[in-house]
Amino acid sequence: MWKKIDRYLREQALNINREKELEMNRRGFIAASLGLLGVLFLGSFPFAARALKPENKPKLPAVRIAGLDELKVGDSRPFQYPHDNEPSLLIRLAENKFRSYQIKCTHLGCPVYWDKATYKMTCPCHNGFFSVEDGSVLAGPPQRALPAVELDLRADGVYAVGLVPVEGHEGV
Amino acid sequence: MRMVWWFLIFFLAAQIILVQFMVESYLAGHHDHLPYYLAALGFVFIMGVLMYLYFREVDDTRD
Repeated sequence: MWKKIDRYLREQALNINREKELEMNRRGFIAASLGLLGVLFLGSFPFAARALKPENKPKLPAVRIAGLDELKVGDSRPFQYPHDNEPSLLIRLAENKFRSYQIKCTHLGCPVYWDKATYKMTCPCHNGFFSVEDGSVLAGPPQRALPAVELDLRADGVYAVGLVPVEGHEGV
Repeated sequence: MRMVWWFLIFFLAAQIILVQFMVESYLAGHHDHLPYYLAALGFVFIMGVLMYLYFREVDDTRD
């Protein structure tokens, strides 16, 4: 036991064994780096496995916004969805065409309103304009689209049933 | 083998950068990007293996 330890320490301290020095030649080094490439590759498997795991997002409640005949074509109605501090707007563009967006401007959070005359969603603070069709930015300082509220037309009215995921809004 | 050394260093650098990007994507919650990084890492690894085998053949032939 002690002899072994002694020999080991001698080998470490007095490395004069020339055969051992030759062990790590260029080919050995390349094989080692290849091993490192493989380790990095295999090490990424757990991360990729995370991508396959289904995300269990909390299901948002269905909330009735308005009756089908309460809103005239071209009109809008404010409501809160999914929480009281998330102001949203329901807009009726045609007989059976509704759009709904959360109206906190993606620039600095001013409430965006529906401008019937220009057919655009308008932020009065810094003149940001959003498309009413998909919430995308038309002009002005905002960089990201308005998050859309998913709608469901039922017999007794228009319901908000969820939020449409928007690129860059992963947290929503 | 001298040539393959430089290639290997390049692959190692690429692999490390890819791993770094992958970790950043993971931490940012962009889980849908991760399989692409996995594929890229696998590609670099396989290229490294192929190149090692090829240059070893060349070396053995030259010897």
